[in-house]
Amino acid sequence: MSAHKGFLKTRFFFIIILFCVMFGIIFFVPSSVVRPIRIMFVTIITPVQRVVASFTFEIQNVYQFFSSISELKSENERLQKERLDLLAENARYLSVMKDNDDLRKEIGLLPRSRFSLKASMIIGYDASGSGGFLLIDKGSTDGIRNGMPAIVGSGIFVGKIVEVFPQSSRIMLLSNRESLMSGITLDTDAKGIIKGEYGLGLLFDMVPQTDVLKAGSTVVTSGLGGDVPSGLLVGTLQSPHLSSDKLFQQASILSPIRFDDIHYIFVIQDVL
Amino acid sequence: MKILIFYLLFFLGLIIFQISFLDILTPSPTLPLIILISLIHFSLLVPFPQVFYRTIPLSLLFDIITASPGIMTLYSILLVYIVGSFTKRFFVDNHISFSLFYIVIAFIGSIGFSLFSFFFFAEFFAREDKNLAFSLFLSSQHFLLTFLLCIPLFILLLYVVRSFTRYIQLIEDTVSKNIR
Repeated sequence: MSAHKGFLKTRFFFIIILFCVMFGIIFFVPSSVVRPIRIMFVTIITPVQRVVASFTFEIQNVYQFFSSISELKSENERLQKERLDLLAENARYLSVMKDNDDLRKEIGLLPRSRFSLKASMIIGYDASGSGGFLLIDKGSTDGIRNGMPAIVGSGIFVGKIVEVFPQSSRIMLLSNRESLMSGITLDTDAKGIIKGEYGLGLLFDMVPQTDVLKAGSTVVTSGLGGDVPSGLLVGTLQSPHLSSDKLFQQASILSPIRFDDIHYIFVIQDVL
Repeated sequence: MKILIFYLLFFLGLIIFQISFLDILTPSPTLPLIILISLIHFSLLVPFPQVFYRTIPLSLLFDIITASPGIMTLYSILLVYIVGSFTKRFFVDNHISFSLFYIVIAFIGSIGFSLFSFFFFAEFFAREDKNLAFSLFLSSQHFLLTFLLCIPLFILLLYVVRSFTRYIQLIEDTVSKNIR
């Protein structure tokens, strides 16, 4: 009996009780109670985060500048060559675009979609270690809503808004393990699901065996389901193979951007 | 009340430093090292039951702000208990040995967080995903980066947390003197 009482006074017993109490609080308190608290704290820290993030990006830029000095020469040569290739390609596309515009006018089609964009700065990265979220400095007061797609550059898809606060929002990156997006290859029209892999990369999965999957094919969003328009660039395919159950084809996707090196993002608010 | 506000501001500062500084500078996936190491420092500086008045609000606030499903709060209870047990059993007299010993503890504690969150989420993973997550956890790059980050952060946060607790102690002493 006294041993029993002794155990009740130990640190270990105290820890077990505390752990169970916190477990209960965490799992049984409804999210509707936690959300207002979360909104309040996130709104308080957003202005400070904006300043800290700008400062951090400056440090990162200085570091990247010094670390890239040795690679500048070879990088410059590569970019010169790429520039010439792109100039030639651009000339070809301009001519195709003109033909396309003329034909669209002739058969009475509407112009291709343009986006109404909201530029925003990254103020925080994922702290949970899964590498799948970003925090941006625009929120509901700027017209941001859940489900809106986020892009970088002229149309490289990076993720979707999953949580909106008054002055900030949370983006689930494509590389998040919970992210699922319908995609299509441009050259062979192979349809599949773009899945994230722990913030490390992307996988083009669930492609039927009847579709042709080639390394080097460009993958874009298909526009099926949700608010994400079609034709946003996701990346290029690498090493197609059969899934472990041999039912589907899959391939890793090489994204043209690094998800952990994004400073600014555009949220597509509307398709014009 | 004043002390509570100071604590709240200090905890928010640590969380901002984690989300908007360390997570931007270090390549993903990273661990919430600043929070984990601060918890270790609190468990070294504050006696046993009282330490939870500092560590639980910090970890709970972190979980609320980052929308994590309570992993840090639950892990912090275990971490504080384990660090407290180590402190009781291994009294290290030498200053350098003390720091090295607790840097290793901080490193193991940080890696432990990966393992804890992995098992916490294990039921949500598909089999292929489980293998990927586990190989990610075991990758040497992950270990090395965590260890290299632990050293400067441990030293920096030791100074920060110690100065903060001393400052709070000073305020508490002043308040109690005024009451007398």
